[in-house]
Amino acid sequence: MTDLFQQAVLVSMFAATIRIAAPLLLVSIGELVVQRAGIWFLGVEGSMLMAAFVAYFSAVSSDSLYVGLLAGMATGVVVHLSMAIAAVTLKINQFVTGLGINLLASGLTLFLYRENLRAYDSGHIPTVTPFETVPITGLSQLPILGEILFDQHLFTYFAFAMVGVVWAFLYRTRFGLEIRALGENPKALDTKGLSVSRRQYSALAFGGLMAGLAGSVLVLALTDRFVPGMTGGRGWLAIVIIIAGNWKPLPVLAAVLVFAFLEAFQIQAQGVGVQIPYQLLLALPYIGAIIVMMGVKVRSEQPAHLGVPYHRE
Amino acid sequence: MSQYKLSKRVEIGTAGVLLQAAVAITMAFLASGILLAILGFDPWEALDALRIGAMGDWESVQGSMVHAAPLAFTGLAASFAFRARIWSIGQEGQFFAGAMMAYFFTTIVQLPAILMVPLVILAGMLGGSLIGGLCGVLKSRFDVNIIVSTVMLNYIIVYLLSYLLTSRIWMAPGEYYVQSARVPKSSHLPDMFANTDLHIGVGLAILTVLAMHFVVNRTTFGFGLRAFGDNQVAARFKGINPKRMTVIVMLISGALAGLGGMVQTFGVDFRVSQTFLTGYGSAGLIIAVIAGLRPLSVGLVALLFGGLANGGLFMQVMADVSSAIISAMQAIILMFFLITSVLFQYRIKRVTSDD
Repeated sequence: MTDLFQQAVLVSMFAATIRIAAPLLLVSIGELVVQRAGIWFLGVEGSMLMAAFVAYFSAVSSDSLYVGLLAGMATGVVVHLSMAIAAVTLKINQFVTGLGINLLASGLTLFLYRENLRAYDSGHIPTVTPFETVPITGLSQLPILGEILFDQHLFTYFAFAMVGVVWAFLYRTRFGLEIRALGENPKALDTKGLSVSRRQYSALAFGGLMAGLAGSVLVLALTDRFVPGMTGGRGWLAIVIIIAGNWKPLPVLAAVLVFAFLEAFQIQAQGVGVQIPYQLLLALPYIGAIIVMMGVKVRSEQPAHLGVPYHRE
Repeated sequence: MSQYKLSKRVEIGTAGVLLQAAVAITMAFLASGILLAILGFDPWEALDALRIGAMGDWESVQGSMVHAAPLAFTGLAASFAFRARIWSIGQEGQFFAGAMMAYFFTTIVQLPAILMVPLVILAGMLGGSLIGGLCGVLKSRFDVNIIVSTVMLNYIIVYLLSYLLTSRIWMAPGEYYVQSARVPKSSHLPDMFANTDLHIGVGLAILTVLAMHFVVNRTTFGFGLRAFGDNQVAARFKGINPKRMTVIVMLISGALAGLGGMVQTFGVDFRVSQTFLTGYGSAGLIIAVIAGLRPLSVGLVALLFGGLANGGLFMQVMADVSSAIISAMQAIILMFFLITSVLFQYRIKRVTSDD
């Protein structure tokens, strides 16, 4: 292999890492805020999947990517808020509810997908024309870095920007402090007369917006159609990422990049035709997740009240 | 003067749980009917086809029992782990692993049926408990969250099966579909009675339900298990080693799910493939929760879900409704069950103003 070819492969692999990182980063950042607010929400996978489903069929039927995007985001919010009703208001077991949301999403989207496809000729599964990348003038002309970092989708820039925004929100604003306090000591907020449930609803609404956006990005930017089960464990990886990132924004970003790199590597290796079973490559992120969890021992920032419903006594 | 007041129940009795399940299931059927109507189906026709397919005659009842058997195993697997407050969601992967390990043994040994059937049963348990035990060890030795390790292994095991098939290690030469070759006749689970479809896997499921009921409620180990689930710190003072308990529970839970995969493969499908094995683990989770983690109730709920799965196939033929609606309906039942569980926590009490 020539140096030039090697460089091209590496550049496209790192560019793919950044591209793939976007939906994972969006959903992880949303889940980070949710968990910081004390909600152990395992239904992100389902929320993303439902959003992807709705985004796809809305975009196809309205012939507008933006309608699809809005519908997908709204779906994420609705699914997350149903968790809020169950976990915050009704105080149902958070583990079981999150699981139920995932199962409902996978069952419902599979069924509705099959029923919806009847409207189209068999073999003519409709596709969307995905969002184009938006090169940043000037920066995208930079050698190597330009192609990797500055010729990406708008969502990608937004996702990375959100890391900073959420960091500033959690650590530099009063409301962010209150969200963090929810996970640590909700009683302290309650005794000060601040509503616990209103803040947890807000955190879940934000998480839903992010998960909905992530699901929409999958169908409207990274591919051109919905496939049942297409989230493929990204929501679960988000949960791994938050534990591995010790519930802090910047380490969460680092963990996202690790998993995105594994996936980009997998795609690249398949493309180059490496003599490894492709299933082993596909399984890499999941094997990686277990290994990462074996290595990560720091749980210092895990919210003390994560998953514990708040009862006023 | 008297007024009504809501008060919280300490524990919901068995009658209460049954009533609650009945209410939740009725509501779920209503919701599914509405969904079907929105999609332009005649809900009465569809749900009636579902009923006939599930229990229209003795033939279909048998079919429902055969569908229920693997579900009873995954339901028991989930309820056993949840009883110890070990949040394993690995039943899906362990179900695959049981079927795959048993299949693996049929490719390396050939024995007469009298030995082959016990061998595949044991191999099914082995496959499931290897995966379950691995997650248990990862938890107790490396503090890897059980939810995370079990979910990740669910994905990994499916890729492993895909590899074994597409690399043609397990695929018959010239086979078009991605599925294994048929298992030898000597390994098929025989029928229990003449002129029925009830293979011994169904009997094994019933026996296992009874055995788990006994183990959980009547043995010292079961007592330790429940104590561990209720309060880990207190259980430690009673001499229960939490790390060992985690590994043992995961081994047993995995073996149960693995048995389910074996029963489905050697009683019904006679081949392994991803499509044949998908969905039993997640259905088992729902069954466990609705059954209140009680083994006997798991058997009953598994029968209901087996009926849904069996009737769903008939509904697909008769009413042209995709049988994929069944997994949606299972989750809808779970959601209504969770909502009604809140309502049933309270009871309406008449209080006189004097007290």
